[in-house]
Amino acid sequence: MPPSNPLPPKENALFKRILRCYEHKQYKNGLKFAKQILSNPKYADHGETLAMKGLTLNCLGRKDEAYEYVRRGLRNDLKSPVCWHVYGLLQRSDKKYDEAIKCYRNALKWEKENIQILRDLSLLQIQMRDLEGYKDTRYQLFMLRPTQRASWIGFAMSYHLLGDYEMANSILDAFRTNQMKGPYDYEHSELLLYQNMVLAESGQYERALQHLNKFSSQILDKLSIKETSGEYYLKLKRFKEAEAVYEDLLKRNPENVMYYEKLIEAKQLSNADEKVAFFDVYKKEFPRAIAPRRLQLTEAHAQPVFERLADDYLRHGLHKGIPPLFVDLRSLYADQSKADTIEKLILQYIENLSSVGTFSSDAGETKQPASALLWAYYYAAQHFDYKKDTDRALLYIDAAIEHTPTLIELFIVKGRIYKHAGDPVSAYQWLEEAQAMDTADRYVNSKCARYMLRAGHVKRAEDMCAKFTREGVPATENLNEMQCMWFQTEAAAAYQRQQQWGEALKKAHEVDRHFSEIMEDQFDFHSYCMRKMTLRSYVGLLRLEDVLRAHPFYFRCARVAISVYLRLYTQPLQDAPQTAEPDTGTLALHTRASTRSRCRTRRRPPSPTQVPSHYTPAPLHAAAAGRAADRRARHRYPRTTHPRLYTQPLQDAPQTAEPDTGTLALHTRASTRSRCRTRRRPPSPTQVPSHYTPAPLHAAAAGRAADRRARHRYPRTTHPRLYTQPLQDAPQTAEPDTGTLALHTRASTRSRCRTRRRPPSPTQVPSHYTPAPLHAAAAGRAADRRARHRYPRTTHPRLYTQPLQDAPQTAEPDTGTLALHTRASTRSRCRTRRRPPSPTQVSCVITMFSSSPLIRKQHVW
Amino acid sequence: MNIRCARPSDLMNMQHCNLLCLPENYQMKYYFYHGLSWPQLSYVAEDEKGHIVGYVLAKMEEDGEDNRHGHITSLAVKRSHRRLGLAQKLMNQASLAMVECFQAKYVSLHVRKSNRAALNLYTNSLGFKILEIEPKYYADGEDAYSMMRDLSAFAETKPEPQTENLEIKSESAVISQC
Repeated sequence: MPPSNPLPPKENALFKRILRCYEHKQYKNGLKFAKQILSNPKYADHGETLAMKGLTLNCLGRKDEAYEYVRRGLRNDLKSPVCWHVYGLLQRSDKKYDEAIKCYRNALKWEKENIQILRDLSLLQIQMRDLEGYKDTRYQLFMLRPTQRASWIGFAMSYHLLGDYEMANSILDAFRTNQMKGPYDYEHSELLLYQNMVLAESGQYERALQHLNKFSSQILDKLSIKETSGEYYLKLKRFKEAEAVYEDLLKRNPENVMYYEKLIEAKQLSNADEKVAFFDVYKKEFPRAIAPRRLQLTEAHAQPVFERLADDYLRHGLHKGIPPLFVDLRSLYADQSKADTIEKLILQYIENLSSVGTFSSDAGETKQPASALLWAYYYAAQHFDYKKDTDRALLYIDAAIEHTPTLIELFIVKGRIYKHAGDPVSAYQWLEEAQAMDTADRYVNSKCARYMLRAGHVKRAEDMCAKFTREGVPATENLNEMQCMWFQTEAAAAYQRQQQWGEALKKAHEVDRHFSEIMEDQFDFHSYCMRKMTLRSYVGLLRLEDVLRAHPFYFRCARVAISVYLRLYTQPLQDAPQTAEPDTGTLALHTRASTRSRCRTRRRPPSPTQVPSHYTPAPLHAAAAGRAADRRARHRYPRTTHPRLYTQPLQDAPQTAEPDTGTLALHTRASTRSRCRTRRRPPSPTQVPSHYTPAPLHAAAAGRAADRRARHRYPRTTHPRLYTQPLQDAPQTAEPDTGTLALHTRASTRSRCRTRRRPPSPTQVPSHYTPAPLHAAAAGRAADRRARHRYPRTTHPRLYTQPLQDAPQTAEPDTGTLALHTRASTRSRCRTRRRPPSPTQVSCVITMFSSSPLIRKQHVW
Repeated sequence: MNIRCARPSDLMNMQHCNLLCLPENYQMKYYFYHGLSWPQLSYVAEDEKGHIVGYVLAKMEEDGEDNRHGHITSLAVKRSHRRLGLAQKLMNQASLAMVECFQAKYVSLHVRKSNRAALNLYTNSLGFKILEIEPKYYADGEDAYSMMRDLSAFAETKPEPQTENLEIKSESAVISQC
């Protein structure tokens, strides 16, 4: 590479030593040599030396100086490929891939055939999903190094990713026929399967099938051969052959649900009786497999048939003592008649087991082990919990605990019943109990911590998690390091509920950073997978990363962050008095009187025997804050929304917005409310259970009464809108307690709240958060920054399925400091500057190179 | 429950399952490394909603042609899904793939000395033998049993080698870490 501003031999030798020092990470020495050149006034402005000095400084962590030197070097020598390359490396190390790409392009302008720069560029392009650019670069690399394996693979893949399957396939074909002939190894096998994938994605199943059959002896991954050929046969409606393939696959893995489904498709079974009979065959063939027995229950619809099969299934599970029996069957409950049948059976078992020790009253049935009754209670508790019949659920779980007080599962279920009933406090207390019984089990530990977070006890949850995190570091640090996103999402939501905006944002941003990291992670695999030839999985990775932020963890955290930012924008922190602290003392502003009164009649507080021994109900020491948190947390998020709800929150919100208005048609909020007021009455004395103490006697009693009230605040409701605007809405949607409070106007309610609200303390706000009024621009930029990572510049076809949401997110590249171009213009410039090879050109090239049997199996990349 | 080979899109959910169940955790990149180096070797068990309830994360140790063997990096089944035999089924699928795709002679793993349930699964249900004790193998100072299972039975195109002894006999816990 001829430098545009050559140094005399002595200095040139020094410059080469700088390069060598950089490669060998001897940065200090590198700086010394740079100084020697630069101290000569004749070369004090030598661009490439300045740039290298900057790059070296960057490696020593002196980023600001690094940028300064590199930019200065570049300014002094704008035609130097070295300066541009160095600037590209610097930007790349800063993860400014867009900028780095521009720099590499500039470097290539001055030195067209630099392999290293081209390779680096191709990696950045695939990382940024600049697929057109990637194709051009891979074409050039292919032309320059046609003897290298990676040249061919990358070239083919660039066409595949653009959807040009024909071209990809012919490149792979040409490569394959020229590779050194076998012994065929794993890499060869993977290459064939990748080629087959390309054919299948082009929709030519016939051809793909022929390809697969032709090469099957060279393919090691027998499972893939069978799974894909079965797929092809079905697509081609060659059912007999498909049948044979899936029967073969079932022998290999009788627990794969898909194989049964495909086999049914191949056998063209449509009515329920046929399907039930079908599963009978496989129950016999695979007596130990669960799948055929379980799937049969899904297919059986006639009541007597289902009852017979369910009876078998339940008896087997209860006899053996399979704890997941209920979670296994739960999905059947979508069919009400099936749920009723199961209920009938289970109640019958309980009756007979507790009286005569058998499942039915038939004489001559063998007696069951004592544990069968326990598992039947356990099942019944979960069954009634699912049906939202809290009282009966508790009845059965208590019976089970009395039967066997040492079974951890029982306490977990008891906690879950309370959680579903809307009492996160009792819920976590029962989980604590369970956790204490097996402190070596991290699953119970995690569950317990999660329940604590639901109840607003972040600190306690951290302490719980700390039992399994590395010693010597705070639990949160270790959890963050391990990308423990369930904890961070739950903690973010907990902080949000407590209006600790800063902490909530901190957690949400930690999760966002994990996602950015996971986007980064793919970088190394761009070259690694081409060496390993695991190209199918590599394409799978690319497609995963394209939609990575669709993951439920990300959605949940993004929701928290967005609503907190909106809240901070609409009510900046200076207006401290307005930030809410919704619930204090014995006032129950946000409860819904009618719900509460209904609940009061239904529910009992836990009896003293139900309360775990370590639970102290009396006035507590430090627990005041804890209790306040409890009160706030209870019932805000019962029955958490399924991730899918996040995708359409807005449409749902208005429809579900009103608290239950019974049979009344919906009116404006105000009028509904006023009517509600007239409809609601304080509970009559007969409705109030005898143990209920209406007047607060002393602090503890009042606290407990508040707990009780709070517990049922939103029992068993899931209201998406409550998540998005919990605070603003609270005064509006909440009905003052008509039983004990006079009615107020909305304004006065709010003003009362104001006096009680505390601003979050500065320590609650993360350091990166700027409390100054968020201007529209700042908010916009922050949103940009967050959004940018969502689907970074991908042009993958699948994204067309969600074009509207995506469009604004992919909009703006990071402006950085260089002069900026929009993506569109960048791309159009590429187009004008570089001509992609035409298909005919490419096939000429391929034939040209494939005539020379020179392709080495080389791991140079 | 459905048992199938893991795909790249499963890897994040496997990490989540691991963090819930086991004390030894890894960053996402390590899962990618497994899934993209030996895509055939990791299996998942999922429930009807597609949530991962158990997984086996496995790799090949490629020190020399005649010592090719598989290694179980991590195996977990959620406590809520124990006693369905999932761990054993996952392990058998992974072992078969090790033999087919990589000509593995045997498969190795590490297990905590205190994890009796897992030890029971490995020795009684899966035919592993204790090779040696590795002192202070785990970060908290606990010793590990280094175990191995001969896979020559799998090489004879017989997917389930010991049809008789497959029932899980362990009381409940079936987790291990290697």
